[in-house]
Formats: sequence, structure tokens, C-alpha cells
Amino acid sequence: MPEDTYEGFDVGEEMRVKRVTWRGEVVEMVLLSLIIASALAGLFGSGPLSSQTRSSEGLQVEWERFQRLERPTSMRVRYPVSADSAPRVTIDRSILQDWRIESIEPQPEKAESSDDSVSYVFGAAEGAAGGEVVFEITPRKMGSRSFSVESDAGTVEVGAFVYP
Amino acid sequence: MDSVIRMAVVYLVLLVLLRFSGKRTIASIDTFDFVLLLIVSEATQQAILGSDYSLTNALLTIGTIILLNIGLSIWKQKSVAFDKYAEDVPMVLVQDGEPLQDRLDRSRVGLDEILQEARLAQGVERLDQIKWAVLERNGSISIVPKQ
Repeated sequence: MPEDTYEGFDVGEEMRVKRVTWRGEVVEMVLLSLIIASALAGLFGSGPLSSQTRSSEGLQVEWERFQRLERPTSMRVRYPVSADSAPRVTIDRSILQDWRIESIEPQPEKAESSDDSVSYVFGAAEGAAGGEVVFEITPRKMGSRSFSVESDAGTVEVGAFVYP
Repeated sequence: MDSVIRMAVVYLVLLVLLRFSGKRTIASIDTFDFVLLLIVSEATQQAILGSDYSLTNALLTIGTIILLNIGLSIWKQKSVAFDKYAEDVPMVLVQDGEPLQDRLDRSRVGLDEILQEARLAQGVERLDQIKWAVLERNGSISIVPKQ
């Protein structure tokens, strides 16, 4: 039954429903504002909250902690160069299952695959103390995903949450 | 399976978002709103189809949206209460020439909009010639002039 009735005017007004609607509008505005503010802060990728850098004994990896399905993202790896061997970056095979490697800059001189990892061997300028490589990767599975990046110096665990 | 879930999620999110974005926003569409609508549809289309432009994906998406829409209309028909909450209810904005200011404010409707509707629909010149002005379920304003 309509809550408010007007003499001779059968309008079917129900203020109870209207009040729910108005409350819903306020809730929607608050939620949307929170979502947009979180997006600006990087909770959904590319922002201060998302940018992550981790180091281990000269090896440094920089990546996005929050990623989106099928949206390419960069992973920057800085590795130390030793005089006696060519620099090598080894990544465990989860990266091949959960991400698609679109490009590697600079290109490795050699790529080697083993049962549980894939290794990239890079050239190094004479006398250089370190090198840097950028992997363009695209997540192809949702949820919490991780892999490890390893060089002669150390290992860094890379974890990311992939949004649908 | 992927495309069916994507479509269902987008359908539900749009249903809730548009339900609580104010019906008046949808009903009184101007050029800028029209452009915004195109942007929303473009963003939605990409979220639904992703990078799969196959005929199968298009047919699955269309099938899902039609089925969901039929399901929703059946639910609305079966449940009067759900229909009211999903589609909103009418509300009186002007009674015997007196504007109900609180309701106008809450609905984000201006008196100028009511007078415009009154002129366009009924040829009414002044507010005191309006007996009832009602914000309808679809966001339009209907006018009943005084005899």
C-alpha cells in the first residue's frame, strides 16, 4: 500500500522505497569515490601503491604489484656484472605459465630452458659494474601469482595480484 | 565460460550503478550526457569482449544478455516489491502549486525543469497553475494542471 495518499490522486507513491533509493545513491557515491581514490593511489595498477622494488645482494627488481589481466606491464631487473662470467638472469617457469613475455630489452644473447626455470644470458660492456633489462610481460591468469628472479648475486621473489 | 561470466558481471554492475545514479540523470539526456553514454558503452564493450572478436563470443554475449534481461523482467513481474525497488516508484514534487522542496533537492530536480515540462506538455504558464507534478519511474516529469 502506498505510504502517502493524496485525495483523489492515485499516484502510487511509496516514500519507503524512495528512502532506500536515496540511501543507495549516497552509498554508491561513497563507494565510487573510494574506488576512484584507490585507483589514483595505484590499488588497481600503475600508481604509488602498486610500484614495488625489491633488492637482494646487488640484484634489484622493480615491478607492479597490482596488475590486470591481459594488460601489458614492465618488470625492470638490474643485475651486477662480475668479471669472470656473463651476466645471467634466471626466472622460474611460473612466469611462462601465468604471464606472456612480450619482449625483452635489451635482447639476451642466449636463452636456456631447464625443467623449472628459464635463463637469459646478456652481454656486458667491458668494465661495467651492472646491467639492466626490461621485461614486457602480460598476465594471462587472475589472482595471486608469483615467480622468482635470480642472478649470480641473489634471488628476488616477485608477487603480484592480477585483477580480472 | 569466460564470456558468459564477463557479461553477467557487467550486466549486474550496470544494473546497480544505473539504478542508484538517479533516474533523472538518464531521462534528461543532453549532448554531453550522450557523449558520456557512448564512452560508457565503449568501455563496457571492451570489458565484455576482451580481445576475443569471434562470432562465437559475440553470440554467447548476446545470448547471455538477452537471457539475463528476460530473467529480470520475469522476476519483476512475479514480485511487486522487487519491481518497485528495481524500477523505483513515482513521487509527487509539486502539490497544489506548492513545491515540495526537500523532495526536489533529494531528486536533484529544479523548479525550472518542472516549469519547462509544464509549458511543453500542458501549456502551463505559472507554478500555481500546476495541481500535481510527479517524478515518474522512468525519470520523466508528468504534470497535472489545475482545472
